[in-house]
Amino acid sequence: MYVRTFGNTNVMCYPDNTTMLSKSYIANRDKHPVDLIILILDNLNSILVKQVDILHTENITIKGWQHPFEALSFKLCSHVNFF
Amino acid sequence: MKSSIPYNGQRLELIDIASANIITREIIENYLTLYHFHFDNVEEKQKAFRYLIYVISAYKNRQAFSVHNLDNQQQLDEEKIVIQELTDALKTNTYFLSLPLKNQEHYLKTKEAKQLNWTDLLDKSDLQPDFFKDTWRLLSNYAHSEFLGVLQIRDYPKNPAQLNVNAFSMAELSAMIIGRTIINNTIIFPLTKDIVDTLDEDSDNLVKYFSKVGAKGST
Repeated sequence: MYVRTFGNTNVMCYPDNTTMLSKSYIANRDKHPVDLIILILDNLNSILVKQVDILHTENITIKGWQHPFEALSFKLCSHVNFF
Repeated sequence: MKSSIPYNGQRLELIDIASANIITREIIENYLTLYHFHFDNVEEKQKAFRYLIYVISAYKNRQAFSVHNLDNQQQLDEEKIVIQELTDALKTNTYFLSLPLKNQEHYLKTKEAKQLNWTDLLDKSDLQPDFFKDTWRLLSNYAHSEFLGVLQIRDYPKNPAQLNVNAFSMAELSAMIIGRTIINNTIIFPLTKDIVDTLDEDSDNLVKYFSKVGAKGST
């Protein structure tokens, strides 16, 4: 493992080319690394955005439900982006 | 999440825990609303009923908006007709017709937008109550200034470490909500499963971990 800096926080990372946020989170959770959890939120948010986007861009009709789903998903992503 | 406020002629840098608390409450309620409309495993006729009261409520609330010009008035007049059409649809919804008459009248007369209140939704939802129930109550108190006395927040600015823990906890709860949303999306919209199936190992771990920890029965 090696130390990598996220914002102002040093976290332990695994020695591969990709930084494993999940493993760093588990290893450092007791230190409450805010910068790390923000990166995790950003990662998760990007997955949710892709999910909503694929429904929208491929014109999948959700009978009678498209509006609240997309509106609520957009609101959720926007709120999470605050962090 | 960090902000600065003027203090003694300087800028005091601090974690914006006030906004974090307010937004986390919104994130929880937003998820519960998604659950109410989409993730809750109820029959289609009940889902249709929930959607109808949601849309009717929105249109009814818009009727109370101030009219500033002829276009506004025309739009409100058109929406009155839509309200009537949607109300007619509601009256033929078999789930609605199965409700006691008193409840039917309630939905016809009020602007009720959802079938369950937040507390009932929290109980019914798939969120882990140990994490979310008391937190949502505390955050609701925080959002309503008249209930601020429920929380002991006077020492917040004097204790940066506690501020950090609080902010981390709010962000963790939000991660659980996003994780649950991603997994629930794959169930109701199979197309979205492709996104999850092609995630890299790290992202896959994160989704699975936070979704599982935030789920009812996880502890």
